[in-house]
Amino acid sequence: MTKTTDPVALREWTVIGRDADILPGTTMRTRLLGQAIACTRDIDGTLHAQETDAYDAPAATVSVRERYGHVWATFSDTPRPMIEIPEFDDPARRRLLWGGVMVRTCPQRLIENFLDMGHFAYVHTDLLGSEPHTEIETYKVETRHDVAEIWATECRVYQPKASKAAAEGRDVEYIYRTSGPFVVVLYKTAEQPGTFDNMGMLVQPMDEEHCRVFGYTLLLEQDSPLVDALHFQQTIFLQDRLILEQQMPRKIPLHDTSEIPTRADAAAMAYRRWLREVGMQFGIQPKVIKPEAVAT
Amino acid sequence: MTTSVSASMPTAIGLSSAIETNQVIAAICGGTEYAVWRDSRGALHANQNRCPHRGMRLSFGFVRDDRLNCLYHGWSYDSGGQCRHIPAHPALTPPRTVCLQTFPVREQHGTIWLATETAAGDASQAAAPSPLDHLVLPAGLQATPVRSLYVMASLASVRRTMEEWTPQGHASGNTASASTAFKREALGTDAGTVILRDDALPPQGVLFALQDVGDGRTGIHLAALWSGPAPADHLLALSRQLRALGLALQQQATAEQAA
Repeated sequence: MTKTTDPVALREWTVIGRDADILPGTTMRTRLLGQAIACTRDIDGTLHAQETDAYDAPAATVSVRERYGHVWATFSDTPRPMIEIPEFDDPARRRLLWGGVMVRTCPQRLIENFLDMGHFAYVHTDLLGSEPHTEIETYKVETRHDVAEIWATECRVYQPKASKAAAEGRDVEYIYRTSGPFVVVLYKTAEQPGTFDNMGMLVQPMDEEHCRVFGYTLLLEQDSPLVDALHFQQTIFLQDRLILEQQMPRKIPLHDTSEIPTRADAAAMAYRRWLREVGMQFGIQPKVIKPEAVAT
Repeated sequence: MTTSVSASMPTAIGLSSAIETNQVIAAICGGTEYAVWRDSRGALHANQNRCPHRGMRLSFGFVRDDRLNCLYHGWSYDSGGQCRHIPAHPALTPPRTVCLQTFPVREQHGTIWLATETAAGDASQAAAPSPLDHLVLPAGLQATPVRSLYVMASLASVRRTMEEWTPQGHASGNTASASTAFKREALGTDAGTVILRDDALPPQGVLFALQDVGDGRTGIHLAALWSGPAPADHLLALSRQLRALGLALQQQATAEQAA
């Protein structure tokens, strides 16, 4: 596809790689929102990017910046402000960047999967959930229109093995927070009672049905090796990818009744409502116009 | 591009051996996907291959307690397609609107037949018609599944090739000369063809059926007809012939595309 014309997608800062993925003196080529781009890091460390075509003809520049350990890009001159994640500056936390994983689906299905506790018992069996602990209690959802964020709070779930460091099952509390269409973070009860680990998923929509996903974890717990925590996250995410690539259609349906939610999907319902309200088109199954409506 | 499947004629979607007890598979006919599963008593059921909750393919799900369950959130569907259990809300009775389209399915002579177009109503309760209903085999003849083969070739070209195909048995059982006469009986266009050897005693032959998958793909489902369970070397010989046939069809289709 060519570059999207959807203003809701175009106004976003979007991750295109980890800082370490673009070494000084190298160029990384990738795609963002349907547009091929090339991002170069000069020897002095400065980043710059531009749109590219098949002939590498001179083309529009793309704004890039580094934050939260990743490189972000936007096509907009007046982008929506990036999400604030103060935990990244907390010296008590260890930073774990999962690296990019390609997934054949739309960005919204990835965000929705991350927001969803109902699949833990079936997709992440004996890790994040298990039968018969399948019930999802009612939780609170709030849409903050001014900052384009949705917060789901008081989410509780029993987890057999909530993290690499967890020795036994426990009740875990989650707080979910989406920012715009492509970013979601979560705060999750840490091994130390009363504290929260922070993790998130930053989605790079290459086109409407192909994404790269960059996850991160900010861990309070200091004992377990980071590589173990990384392997745990990779196990979890590969289980999710199996699901994500088998959902039909790949684009998310917003304008019909082909997908029926329940109370447990309250966070996803608020996210879909927000997508409808802002008129998002990228990654969305187009509205079917009935022939009789066109005829007149 | 998808090809529409004949409205009234059921389609062969596989051999009996393709679906074990308490298992589900995906079948594609004319570009449309179906989830076909076998319950604990061995009975077959067919549904749309999409969970109406989040669009997950049900063929990735699991069969438990004679229900088809979605792998994503465990939504559980009975043989009539009705959702009976939503694990996130165990006390909730799922609304009647949460249901799957069901399709008549049945198996005969080692092949599984799916009626892809159904009348309104509870299709799973209706016995699926089968083109093999009126097939009369010589007494004692039994069907044993050989293999299913899918080729990137159109239904028409596979049909043309299969119309000329004469299966050879394994050496020890194949006492007839090369001039052996065969009796062919087509049970309807692509509804299955029976080929019996005229002179063999006890009688033997094959049954094959074609499946229009869509997008230029065709399935060939082959069963051996033998008096009693077919011997392993005979099944192997037929399987090799079908594989050779598949390779030839594939090369022919590639050549046609290049031309």
